[in-house]
Amino acid sequence: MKKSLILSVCLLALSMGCSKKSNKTEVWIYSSSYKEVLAVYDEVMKKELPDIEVKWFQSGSENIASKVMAELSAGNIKADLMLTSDVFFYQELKNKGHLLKINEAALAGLPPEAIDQDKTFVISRFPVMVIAYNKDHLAPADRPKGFKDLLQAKYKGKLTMPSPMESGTAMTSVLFLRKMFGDDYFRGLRKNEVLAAGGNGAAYARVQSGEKPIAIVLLENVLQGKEKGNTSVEYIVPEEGALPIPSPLAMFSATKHPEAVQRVFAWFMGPSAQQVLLKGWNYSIFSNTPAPKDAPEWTALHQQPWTLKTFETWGTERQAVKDFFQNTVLK
Amino acid sequence: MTPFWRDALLNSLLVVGGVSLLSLIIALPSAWLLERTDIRGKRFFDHAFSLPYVVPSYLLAISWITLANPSVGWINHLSRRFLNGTNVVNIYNLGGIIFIEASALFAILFLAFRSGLRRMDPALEEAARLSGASSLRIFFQITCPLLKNTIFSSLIAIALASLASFGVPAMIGGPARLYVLTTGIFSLLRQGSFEAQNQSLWIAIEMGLAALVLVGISRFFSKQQLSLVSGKSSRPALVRLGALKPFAQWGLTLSWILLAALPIFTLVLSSFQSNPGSLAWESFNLNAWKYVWFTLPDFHRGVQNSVIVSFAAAAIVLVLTIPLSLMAWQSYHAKKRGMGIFVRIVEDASLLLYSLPGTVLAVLLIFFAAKFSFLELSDSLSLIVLALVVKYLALGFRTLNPATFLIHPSLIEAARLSGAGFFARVFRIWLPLLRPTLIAVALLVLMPCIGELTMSILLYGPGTETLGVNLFQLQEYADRAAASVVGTFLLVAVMAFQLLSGRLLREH
Repeated sequence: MKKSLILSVCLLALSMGCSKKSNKTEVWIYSSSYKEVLAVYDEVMKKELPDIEVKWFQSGSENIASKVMAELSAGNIKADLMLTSDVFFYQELKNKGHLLKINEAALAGLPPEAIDQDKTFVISRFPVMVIAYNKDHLAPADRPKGFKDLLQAKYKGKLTMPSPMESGTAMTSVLFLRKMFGDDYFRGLRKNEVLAAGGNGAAYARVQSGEKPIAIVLLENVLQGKEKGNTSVEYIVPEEGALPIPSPLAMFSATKHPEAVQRVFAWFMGPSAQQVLLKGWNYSIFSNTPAPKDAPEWTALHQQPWTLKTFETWGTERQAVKDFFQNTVLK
Repeated sequence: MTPFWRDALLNSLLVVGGVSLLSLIIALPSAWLLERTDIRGKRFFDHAFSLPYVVPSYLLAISWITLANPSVGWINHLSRRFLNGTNVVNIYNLGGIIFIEASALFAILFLAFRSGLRRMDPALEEAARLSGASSLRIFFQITCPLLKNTIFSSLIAIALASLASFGVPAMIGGPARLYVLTTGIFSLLRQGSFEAQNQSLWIAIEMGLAALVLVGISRFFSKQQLSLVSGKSSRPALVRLGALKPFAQWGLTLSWILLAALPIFTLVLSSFQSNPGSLAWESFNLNAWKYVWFTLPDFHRGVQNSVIVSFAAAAIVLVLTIPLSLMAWQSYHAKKRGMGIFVRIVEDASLLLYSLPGTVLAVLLIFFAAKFSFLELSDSLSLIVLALVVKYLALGFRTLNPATFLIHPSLIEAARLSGAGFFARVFRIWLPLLRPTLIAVALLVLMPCIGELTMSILLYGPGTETLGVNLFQLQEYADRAAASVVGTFLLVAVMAFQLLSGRLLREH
């Protein structure tokens, strides 16, 4: 009895350890998109790119950035493509020569403002940051109208947001808010005891539970929650405008399969992938693509203006802003 | 030293001191009540108080977040309802970290003190009793001083474990903006810059040196311990608690409920709660279980990776400890001095590595993998397996080595004279005789490896997420109900290993 038990446990371990060797080209994509969205990408890609086996590594944008840095310093980069939300990191990688130049054919038809001037990365989608609140824990009269309102004393202890140390969307949002209101805005948030921890999923979970009834968070979290039946969390488009988070896609120059990787890249900018990103409640870069289900029209977001040049300027301040945030809000 | 690291160091010291003190307060009275008094249910409490020893402490943190979150914790839900909207507890502070760590680590002292009481000659306590000393006086003036070295070496083991802990301070300290050394190093490594990586290495080295000082103190006490405790000569007379018995009984029961039963029950129940903010009947369902089992792709990969790394680590530890133990036996009986010195060096090195905090080992291995990049260790399961082997080799050797010395040389000599070669002697004599201990070694290594978090969270890469990493990410970034599901699964796995090891060892 016991021998067969031990034997079966060992066999189980061995069988789990042995994976079938595939003839397909293996391509690693590091992405900050949610696992559910990646699962849909994966399903469609299996049909449309049958000779390529896509492997995913999902984490927050900043976590992925630190992983990529560690791999680059070890001279052993595993990633072939990267699909995250921290445009500054792409600019840094480009300047250090780690990104592969995109084939011209894949760029045809893309909006020029979405293409990096050196053609090493493109903006592939737009998540947007809004303000979410739990209507069961916040009286209608108390609901904030915009980002500036969050500094009011009545919101003390009620605010949360993702941490820019871990989330690329949070990092971009912090840079937008800093440009809009200056450093004092974050001192005010700290005074109101904002809880900045984890990614957008964690911030949304805190609003949903009522632990913190108000969050600066991605619209997609709220809409995804509604789809799952969580009706207590609503959102407002802030009166200053929603914060667009241009999320890039790039290929690493160290890839061992440049042809396959270029094909995967082209696929992401094609119609199938654009449909998938709508299912993830992201906005497409193509103006003729409709808004995601239940989301407001692009024009109704009154989004803050941006260009890739703006981000390049902000990128130089990224580390200083992280340090400032660490010493102001996280301390 | 920057203010951030000064605060982190201070917080680490406060956690180490607080956990040690609280463990002392919990472990000594409960062990004494079970060993020296006429309290009921001793067998049950023996097992019940040993339970937290095998449960990863971060699972207790998840439960206490569910129970004592200041806004939506279950306890505060109830207190607001019955105490005019008042919150009574907040787990997000240094006290919360100390309480949760102590509720997991006190078992080290409890088990050691209880074992010390069993080994201690009760005649000394009897003499004091006959001289008219009260039970309290005997406890403080006879029992504790006699077992002081057991207490100190256990406290140092607790101090080392609380200094090395990552999961609890990360989950509880994050929302309270409290950093300790391990979470500080983690946050540095997350920044991704070369400067941050180098800084993390220096902090890790300093932390490792502090741990080694504690190990040195611990070894000093453990060497002295042997001369202070004599063999068991008679059964101790049990102290009759009389009118105090119901209070002691309830005290023990409530302590166990608070330290183990309540958090374990909460963990399981919260895995069915789809909205952590609501205690309404409708918010309890199977959604999180369905999500984890059928939708979350990382879960199955996490189970697979955890099984692979745990079994691989256990197998490698066995493969390394068997020849080492045989060499130790051979060097003793055949007087081979060189071989003995070699074994002693390996044993000491493995003990030092065992005592190093997991974060320090992981940071050193990250730099090792980067320096020797041709080995392609970065982001591979091999790196996690290597970390686990380095960490737990001492555990294997210290368990197997004493068992080899129970085998009399005449057995081996008889086999040799009958013509058995080296391999025949190993496979026909050594391994069959050592089988129960070998199984125990494998299970002892498997148990901590299956839910390991501290090293895996720094070493994992694409495709190499383990169960501990899955759970931490779900808890911190996404879905707490799903984290409770993974936690429940892990809890069941760890307890099954413990039951299996107990059964196998009893059978042998």
